[in-house]
Amino acid sequence: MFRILIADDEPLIRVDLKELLEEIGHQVVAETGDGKEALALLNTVRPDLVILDIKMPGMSGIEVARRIAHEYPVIILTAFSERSLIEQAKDAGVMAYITKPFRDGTLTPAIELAVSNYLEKAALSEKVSQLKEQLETRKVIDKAKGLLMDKQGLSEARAYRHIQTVSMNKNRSMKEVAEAIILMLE
Amino acid sequence: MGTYFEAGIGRSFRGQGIDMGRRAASQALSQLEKYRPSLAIVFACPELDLDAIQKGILETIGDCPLIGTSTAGEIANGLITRGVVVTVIASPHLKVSVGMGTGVSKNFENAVNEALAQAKASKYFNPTHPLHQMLHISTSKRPRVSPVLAIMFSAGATKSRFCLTHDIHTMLRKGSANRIPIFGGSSGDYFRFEATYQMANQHLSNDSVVLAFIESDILFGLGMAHGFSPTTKRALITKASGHIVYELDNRPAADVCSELLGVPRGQLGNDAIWFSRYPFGTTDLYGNSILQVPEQVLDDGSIKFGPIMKTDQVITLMNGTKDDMRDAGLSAYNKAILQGGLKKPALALMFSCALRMRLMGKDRRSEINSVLRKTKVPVAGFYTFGEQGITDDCLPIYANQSVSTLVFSDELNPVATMIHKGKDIYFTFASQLNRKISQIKAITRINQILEDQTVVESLLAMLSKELPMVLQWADGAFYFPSKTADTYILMGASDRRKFPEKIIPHETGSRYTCIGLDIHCKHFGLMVLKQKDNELVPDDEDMLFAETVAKLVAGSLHKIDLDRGLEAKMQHFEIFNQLGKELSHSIATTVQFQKLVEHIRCILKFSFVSLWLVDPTHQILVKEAVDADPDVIFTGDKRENDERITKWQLTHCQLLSVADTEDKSNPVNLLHPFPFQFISLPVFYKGALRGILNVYSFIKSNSFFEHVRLYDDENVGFLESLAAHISVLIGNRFIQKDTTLFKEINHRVKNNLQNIASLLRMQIRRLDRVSPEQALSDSISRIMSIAVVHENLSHGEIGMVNVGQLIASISQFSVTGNSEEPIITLDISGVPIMIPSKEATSLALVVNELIQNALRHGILPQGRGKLSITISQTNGFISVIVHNDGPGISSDFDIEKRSNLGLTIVRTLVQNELKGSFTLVNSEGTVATVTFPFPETYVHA
Repeated sequence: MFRILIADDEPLIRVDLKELLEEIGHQVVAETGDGKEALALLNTVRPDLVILDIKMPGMSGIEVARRIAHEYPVIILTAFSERSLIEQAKDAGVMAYITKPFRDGTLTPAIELAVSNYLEKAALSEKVSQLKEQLETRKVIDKAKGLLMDKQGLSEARAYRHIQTVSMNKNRSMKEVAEAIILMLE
Repeated sequence: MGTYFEAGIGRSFRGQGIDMGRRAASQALSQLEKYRPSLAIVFACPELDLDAIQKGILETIGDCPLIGTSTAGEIANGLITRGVVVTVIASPHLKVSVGMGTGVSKNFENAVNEALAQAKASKYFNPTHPLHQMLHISTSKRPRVSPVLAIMFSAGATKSRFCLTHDIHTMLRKGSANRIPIFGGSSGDYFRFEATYQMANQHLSNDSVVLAFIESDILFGLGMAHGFSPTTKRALITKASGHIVYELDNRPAADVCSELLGVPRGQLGNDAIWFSRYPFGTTDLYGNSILQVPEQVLDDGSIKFGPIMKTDQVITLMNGTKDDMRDAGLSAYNKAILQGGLKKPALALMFSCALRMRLMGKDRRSEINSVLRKTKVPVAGFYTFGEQGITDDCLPIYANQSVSTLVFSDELNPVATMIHKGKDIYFTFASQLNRKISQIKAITRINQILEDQTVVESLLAMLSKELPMVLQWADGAFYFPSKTADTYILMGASDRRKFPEKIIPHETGSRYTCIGLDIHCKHFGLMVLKQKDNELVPDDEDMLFAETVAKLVAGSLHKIDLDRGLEAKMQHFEIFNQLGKELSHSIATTVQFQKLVEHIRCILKFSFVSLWLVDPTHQILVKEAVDADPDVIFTGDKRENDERITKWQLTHCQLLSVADTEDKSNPVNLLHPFPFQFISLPVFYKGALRGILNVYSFIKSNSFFEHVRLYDDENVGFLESLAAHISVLIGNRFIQKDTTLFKEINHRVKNNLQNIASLLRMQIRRLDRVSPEQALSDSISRIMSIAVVHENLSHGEIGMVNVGQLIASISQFSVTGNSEEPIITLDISGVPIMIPSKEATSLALVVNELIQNALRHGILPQGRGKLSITISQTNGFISVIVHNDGPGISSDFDIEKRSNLGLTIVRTLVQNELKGSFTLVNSEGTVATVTFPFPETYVHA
């Protein structure tokens, strides 16, 4: 069960969509016919999934997707099927693109895939940034270690232990300690 | 008037000496036309005041050399006595120098040498001088070979002085090896034998020898005659010394003479007339008889002769009639002509012996008059006391009682002729060359102007200023043809006062010379020349040169024309380039049309340009873009005329070009004044008039090129193709609109299909509450009401729907579509309102549900009823009221109840789509009211 926000400027379609989603076990936490309003609603309802029409007053669905796709899985649901729009949606980071008129069976797998793909992508991104951070820390510590060895004539093991000790005593991360040492000795 | 030689003879008889001199000299000078006098020869009666006369002559003739002599009678086209005769000869081909040697009686040799030295002629009279081998080579700058001639006057015999002329002559003759002719006479004094005088320049002497030494390229001839014939009476000179003959035939000379003459011895000495009448003669080596006239019988019985006499010479008594003597003058003249080979004798100088005049008595004038009569040549000279000339064999000779003649001819000797011709040719060539040089300079100057100037008007103005300098003989102007065929308009003139503003070539006659500015079959105009007031008359070459100048100008105009054409082509290219850029933009906006119009005006330099487009819905013209020159304010009459032209074009649809708006024959009724020429072009797209392009150009007076520019075939052609391109641009705009519409419709269809799908799905979810029949018929009516919107889409306004029509259609099928047909009174009223199709679709669905409800709950239960639908518009809101006169809704009816699909649709659409409100109340049945905001932009009354 996902908490879903829908934005479509056709009220009847919205009604149908809402009923359909609820039928298949989801909860529509917010609905709107305006792009800007959809942006505003996101901050308050924090849904699991966002379904957007393209042609809307206020702001186009593509534009909304571009702003939120890094935070939410987004599905575009539109009557437009131009290649250029699909490209734009892809660039914005949209997880699925469904054209109207749609069959009710289409929605379920799209939603499942969109959410799981998004989560996987998000996890990967997280992992990448963690690794990046670790790599950065290693680099800094290595540099600080090198400086300690050069300037204070410590062995590698002693230099590392020195950084470790300071980190524990001062309750600072090893990276911060290493940066301070570089600042001091360089 | 002579060609090479001129002469003048002046004379005077009375008055003060100085005046006589002036008069005679100025009379002589007045007969010269071309040349300055080369030598003045004076013959004067010795009784006059010679000193004063000489002064008078000198101050009249200036620095001209002068020689003169006293006479025994003067000759000036006839014999005159006791007067002054001044003869001037004048020619650039004569070189004269004059000298006088005085003291002849003391030492004639010194006197001769002095005279020669003064005349700078000594070298000619030195027998060893090489010049004798070659006549004369002048030492002046211009080398020439000229025959030389000496004119000599020497002191004549007086009572106290012996005449030494023969001695002088012999000295000169021998000195020159007989090569230089000496023409001379001994001065006379009317037989008084007191004093004779000679003049040389300002000098006057009574005991001198005067020489004029002449280097002459002018042909001259000399001749001598006396008219006497030898008789059989002769004697041998047996004793003689100098001029004195002592014995003839070994007897006293006087005795023998007396016998030969038949005159008593006693009478001989008293009257020398006997010797004149019967002179002696000798015969020279060639058989010519020369008179030897005794002058005096001396007391010792010897006889003094004029010439020097030699022993062992035979002297023969001579005899001559008056007729013979008269004819001798003519004979001497003819000999001179023959000797010189003369063809144009111009002056004869006759030195005749005073004795002859005496012998002729009353017939004394006939000798000269016969020459005058026969020859018509002017004759001057004098009666002498002894003459010198040449014999028939061209030897210099001293003679007595003869007539010696020198004739100057108006001809050059062959060598001088050659030189002169050469000189003529040189000067002709030189002047031709100078002329060509000045023409080349002129052409260069014209070319400079032609190169510098690129504007026709200033070019012609500058050129015409230059023309008088270039052509010298004429003022010049340039004319260009006006619109009417035969009139030409002044474009530039060296002096505007001399040329009319307009000219008709074939009517100008000879006052102007008109030369066409033609090149390559193109006629630009005329170069018109007017002869200046000065006397320069153009010759063939001048005309040829003027034509050359005209050709140059025409060439230059042609070039400017071509450049202009090229420039126009470049402009056209630039416009097409801009046009291409505009065309490449997918959307043809008003801004782009405005830009295009600006390009057309700026590049083609029109005064203003307007573009009108046809509004496709209303078939009217709307001004799309206009651009005007900053100097031309596009308002008032200009705007009004532009509109009038456009209106005319709307009905005529054809190219209209008007060169002169003042010309009433133009089809458009214009406001005046309107000093513009214009072209109005219809712009067609796919056979239909889509727009009108008007271009205007201000008419500048006299501006030929500007004037024709607009009507240039190429320009018109270009404008036409421009119109074609604009039509493409306009067409693009329509295609643009069509494409947008197509996309819009496609999107809407898909949206509507989605709507239908959604409606059906919602209906499916509620199938448990209604019968399948009702579910289907409700669904059908919903689909139909969406379809009705498409039916009612306005053809004019894209995507607009008339609310009244929409509702009428819906109620139509709603009422008739029901299976049980109730009796219904349908009443639809309201104002016509147009709303966009999206809103119309929602409204259609809403109204459909309301009608369905009204029918189902209000009318069908009764089987009959009244249904009224009212559309109203107030304060920015549209209200649609659906009323039925049925039983009304039950009190427990909850409008918010979710399960009723119809009401769900109504509520959803009214609130979310129309942003309006919906009420349902009982009032004489049921009243359903839908009210929604209505932006003014939808109004289309």
